[in-house]
Order: sequence, then structure tokens, then C-alpha cells
Amino acid sequence: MAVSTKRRLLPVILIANDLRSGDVVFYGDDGWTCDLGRARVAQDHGAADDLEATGARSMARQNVVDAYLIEIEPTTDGPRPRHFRERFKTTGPTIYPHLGRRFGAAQAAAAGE
Amino acid sequence: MYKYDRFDAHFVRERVAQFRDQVERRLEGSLTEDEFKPLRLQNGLYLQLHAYMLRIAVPYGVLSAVQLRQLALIADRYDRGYGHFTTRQNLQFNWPKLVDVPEILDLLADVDMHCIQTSGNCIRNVTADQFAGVAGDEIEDPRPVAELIRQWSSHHPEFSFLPRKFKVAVSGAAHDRALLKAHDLAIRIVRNEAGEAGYEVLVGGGLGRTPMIGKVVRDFLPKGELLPYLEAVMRVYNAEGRRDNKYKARIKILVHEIGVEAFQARVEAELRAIEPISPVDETAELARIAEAFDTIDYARLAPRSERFEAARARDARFAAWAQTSIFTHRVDGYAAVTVSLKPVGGVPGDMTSEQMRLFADLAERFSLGEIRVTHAQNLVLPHVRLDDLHALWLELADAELATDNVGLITDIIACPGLDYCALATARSIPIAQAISMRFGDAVRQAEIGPLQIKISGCINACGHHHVGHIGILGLEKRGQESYQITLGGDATENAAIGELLGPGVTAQEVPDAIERIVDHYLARRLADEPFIDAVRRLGVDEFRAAFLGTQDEAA
Ligand code: HEM
Ligand code: SF4
Repeated sequence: MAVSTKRRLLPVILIANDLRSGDVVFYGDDGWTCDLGRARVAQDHGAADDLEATGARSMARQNVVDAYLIEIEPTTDGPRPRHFRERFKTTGPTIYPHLGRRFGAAQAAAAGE
Repeated sequence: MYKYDRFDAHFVRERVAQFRDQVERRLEGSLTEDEFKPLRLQNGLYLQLHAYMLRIAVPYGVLSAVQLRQLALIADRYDRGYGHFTTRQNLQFNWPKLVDVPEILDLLADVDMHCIQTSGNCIRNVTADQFAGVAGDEIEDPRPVAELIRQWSSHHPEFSFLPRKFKVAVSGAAHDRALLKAHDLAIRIVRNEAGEAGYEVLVGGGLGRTPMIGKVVRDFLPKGELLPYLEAVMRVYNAEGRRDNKYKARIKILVHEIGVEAFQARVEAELRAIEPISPVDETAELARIAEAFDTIDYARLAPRSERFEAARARDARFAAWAQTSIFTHRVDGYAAVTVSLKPVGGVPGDMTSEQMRLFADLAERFSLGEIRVTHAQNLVLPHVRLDDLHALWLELADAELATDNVGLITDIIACPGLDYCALATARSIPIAQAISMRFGDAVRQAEIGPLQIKISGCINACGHHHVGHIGILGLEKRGQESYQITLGGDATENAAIGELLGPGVTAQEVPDAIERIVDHYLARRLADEPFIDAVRRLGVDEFRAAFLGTQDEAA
């Protein structure tokens, strides 16, 4: 799913799955987060290349798997992925809204993470 | 039910210990994802869109109450309280954490279950007719053959790295309920002119991006000669199947490219070379396995149950459920009952842990503790007394498991699609839900009669869309989900690939498009003529016009 620099439409964010749990995570200013709203948004190709390199390093360090950039449009509610696939990936199954990201977040909170 | 012996149990435990070690090495960083991926796939662990996914083998679709209860426990403890039954008679959990998987595998091993050969380029979990061993139309129970193949193929050193995955199905019945002709290899138990039972072998069926109907390569293989024959087929495929292109690597492409006669000739040549060295006494082993299956003590009952007849006359809703859900058992006084996992508007094949536990209890009370999983993503209670049917139905209704739609238009097969699957190009489950809501009225469904809709979220065709009477394939078109509709597919002994009706439609347009097709059928059918027969008689073109009519109006 990686986008080549030439065809990449800015801005982008970095998405991955957490190695241990499989949860969808985003790269933010304080490292990986489950909160899409805290994802670091790359506005230019230089920043996007940096994010991509971060993803590769994180995979090499075995923190996450399947890290890649996704194109987003900024909204007042935070980044919104342009492609419907990535939108579903960030929200969870559309058929069970109660089992999506909020469920994961609630569990993490309960576990005191 | 077949019980694993000490060797099997040991083998499964050893595999869990290996994987526990592999997970530890992955977590501490000594295995990269590239190194780990083939190892986790060999244990049925995928990475999906939102999480990992664990695929658990249900060999030839046979499950015990004890096993289902254990699955419920795993769903609650390590997943999100539900599981998904698939078209390959397996069960998938959608939310396991990598760190928990070794624990889950141990819990599975406690009840003789595992995830071995549910993924990878090996001989996959063998599937079978869900009514195996109980069907009234059966020549012979195919489960012993399925189990023989499971034992022979498990960790077979020569066939663990084939050019591509290899799917085997078996049936012993006159009617094909196991989709034999869409498998890499299929075995049908048949009788020859002398009345002896033996095997018809089909090779080269498959769905995916190049759908093909399997071809007969041996019309009668005598009993006792199966394993050498399978070995010969596998060797020819292993040596000649294409490894240069993943999309051309299935055996169907090899058979198609060299032709079925050339393929047969190669298999026969291979067979002459290997026959003398086959190590197993197949006949003795098959007899041993068959004995392990044949342990059920049925009561001697009358073929007709007055209690059942009276309940049916008294209660119209029970009668409607019985009409679609009951299948003739080979033993008098018993029925095999299909339980729909397709509540109107629900997610096809999903079951909550609560329902699993309740269902396990019902299986123990009413069906000698045995359950089957169907490729249509439903469950079966295979040994229910006719006398007990009404009591069973009442209990199922309490658990919201008494939907009376088996085989009807809302008994839809749908793959996980873009709600879970990383390969998907569009969603499939919400399409199934929308169609189910549109046609959910019980009277209307009964009026339409048998009609199979099958939906896949991408060209891989896990939802069998090619062989749906109406098939729906989700794709992406100009940044939107788009659905292609096919007509005239057939998943039985008359297997056929559906024909495309026209350009893709949007998700919102799908229910209307289906309704146009159904209305055309209702207007044109002869008395009691099933949908698929009408499509064959009238031809796809007529229906295409009806389908395209939708779009003219919309324009
Ligand atoms: C992790 C999720 C899945 C992945 C990655 C996956 C992958 C694939 C691929 C790549 C193919 C095409 C194979 C080929 O043409 O060579 C395929 C076919 C198939 N899969 Fe899946 N699948 C997934 C889930 C499922 C599920 C949930 C089911 C059952 C509902 C299923 C059952 C099948 C069947 C029946 C076929 C078509 C038969 C065949 O030609 O192999 N798969 N799958
Ligand atoms: S058909 Fe495609 S979308 Fe559906 S489960 Fe298979 S790979 Fe995923």
C-alpha cells in the first residue's frame, strides 16, 4: 500500500499495526498512538520521507508491522484518510461500531495503559 | 466422533511449544517479520486490517459440544466475544493479540483442536459434505476418507511447500453439498457396475481470479489405492505447477494448460513408479478409522413421529422452520437440522460466545453432542429425534437461532470483506445485510423459494460469488466501492460459473438490482420452478435486460 513519492498526494500520516496486540496505530509526536487525532501530519515531501523512514526503523526495531503512509485531508475533527480502505482501517469494522477502535481504547484504559 | 490418538495429541502439543518459542523470539527481536510471517501463517495466524486473525481448523466440518464451549471461552477471554464461521468450515477469531496466541493454541489443544494447515502452500484442512455419515442419499460415509487424508497430509514433508495452496473436499452422497467441483482435488465415493464402492477423483477446480470447474481424472479408483494415487497427483503438481507466477500457480492452471488427458497420463506414469513403495496399509487404516467413527447407538424409532406431525399442524411458524431446516437422516426417526447463522440483517456466519455455549448445551441434549459446520456458514445438529424437534426449536428461538431461511434468498454467504480483510477491495457484509433486510419478510422469502446469493469482497472469491445463483463481487471503481453482479452460478453437482450481468453498481443500488432480477424471475417462472432452473431455461440475457433496466431508470 506504500505510495511512491511522485504519486503521493500530501498531506500524509504514518499508519501501522502494533506488533504485540495487532492494534492499528499512528505515528505522533510522542511516538506511536492509538489516537488518530494525535497523528503527525506531514505537509511536504521532506516530512513525508522522514515519516516513512521512521516507519522502516520502527519495523526494524520490532515495534510495529506493516507501516506505511496514507493520504489524508485535514478536518476540524482531525485527519481523515482519503481512501475508504484506510478510513475503515482507522474506524474499525463498519458493521460492529461497538467493536471498533473505541472498544480497543476502552480495553487499553481498563488495563491502565 | 473420531478421537485423536496419543500420537496426534503429542504432535499438536509439540507444535504449540514450537510456536510459543517462535513468538517469544519475535517479541524479543531475534526474528524479523519476514522470518516470522511464514511461521505464523503455518499456525493459521494472519494480520488483517484492524488486528491479527486466527483461523482454527474444523476438520471436515465436524465439531463437538465440548469444542464449541472451548471456542466460547477463548472468544471471551482472548477475543471480543464472538467468532466467524467461514466457507471452508473453519472458525476465525478477529481480534487475538500476538502475545496471547500460544495460550489460545494450548486451550485449543486441550480439546484436540489446532490451526495447522489452515494457511500456506500446503494441503489445507479437508472439507466435506456437512451431512457426512447421516445423509439419506449417501453411498458411504466420507469422513473416514477425509480423516485418512488429514493424517496422510499433516506435515507431509514432500507436500508442505507446494507451488500454491491445495484444497481437498470429499463427499459420499449422490448430491454435491461440498462444492466438489471448485476444489483443487475432490473425491466422490461412487459405485461401479459391479456394485463396489470406490472413488471418483476430480482435479483442477477452483475459484479466485480464474474460476474453473474441476475435471474427472479417474472415474473409478478402487478402494485401497487412494493414497498412492493422491501422492502421484501431488508429485505431478509439485514438479510441474508454476512457481514463477502466483496467479498461475494453482493446479487448475496446470491442468488447463497441458489438458486433462496429458495430466492423467503424467499421473498414471508417476503412479507406476511409486506404487510398490507405498508404506501404509491403507485398507487396514481406513477400517480402523471407520470403526472409530461408527460409535453412535441410535434408538430404534418409527419413521414417522406423531409428536412432530402434531406440532407441525398446530404451529405454523414451527412448520415453516421445519420446512427449510430439516434434512432426511439415514436412520428412521431422526433428522439432521440446519441452524441458520443468518438472522435477518445480521452478519453471516457470526456467533456470539453466549450463543456458542447455549448451542453446545443443545447439541448435548438433542444431538449426541455433535455439531457440523456447513460451507454456507451455518451449523448443523446431525442427530436429532423427530420427537424432539419442537422442543429444540423453542430453545433455538430463545437464543435467536431459529431463523427459518436455510437455502432461501437471505441465507447469504459473505466473506469478511473490507470490514476485516486486508486484501479486500470493498465491503461484503453490509451488502449481505442490506439484501437480507430487503427480502427479510418470511412469506416473501418462502414465495421466492431456493435462491443462493454469494458475496466476495475481492477477486479472491472467498465468498464463492462465482458459484452463487446470484453472485456479487465487490471492487473499487473511481475511489468508490462498486459491485459486479453475476447470474447463473451453481455450487452443486451441476456446478457452473455465473455470467456477468453488466457494469458495476454502487452499494446503495445493489438491493434494487437484486429485486429487479427476482421480480423478473417471479413474473416468468413456471409453477414451482426454482430460480436457478428458470435462469437456465430462459437464459441470462433476459435477466440482463431486467438488471440493466434498473440503471436506465436511475439515469
Ligand atoms: C485473512 C483473510 C484471507 C485471506 C488473506 C485470503 C486469501 C485468499 C486468496 C489469496 C485466495 C485466492 C487463491 C487463489 O486464487 O490462488 C483465496 C481464495 C479462497 N478463500 Fe480466502 N482469504 C481470506 C479469508 C477467507 C475466508 C474468511 C474464507 C471463508 C469464508 C476464505 C475461503 C476461501 C475460499 C473458499 C477461496 C476460493 C477457493 C480457492 O480457489 O481457493 N478465505 N483466499
Ligand atoms: S474474497 Fe477477498 S475480501 Fe473476501 S476474504 Fe477473501 S481475500 Fe478477503
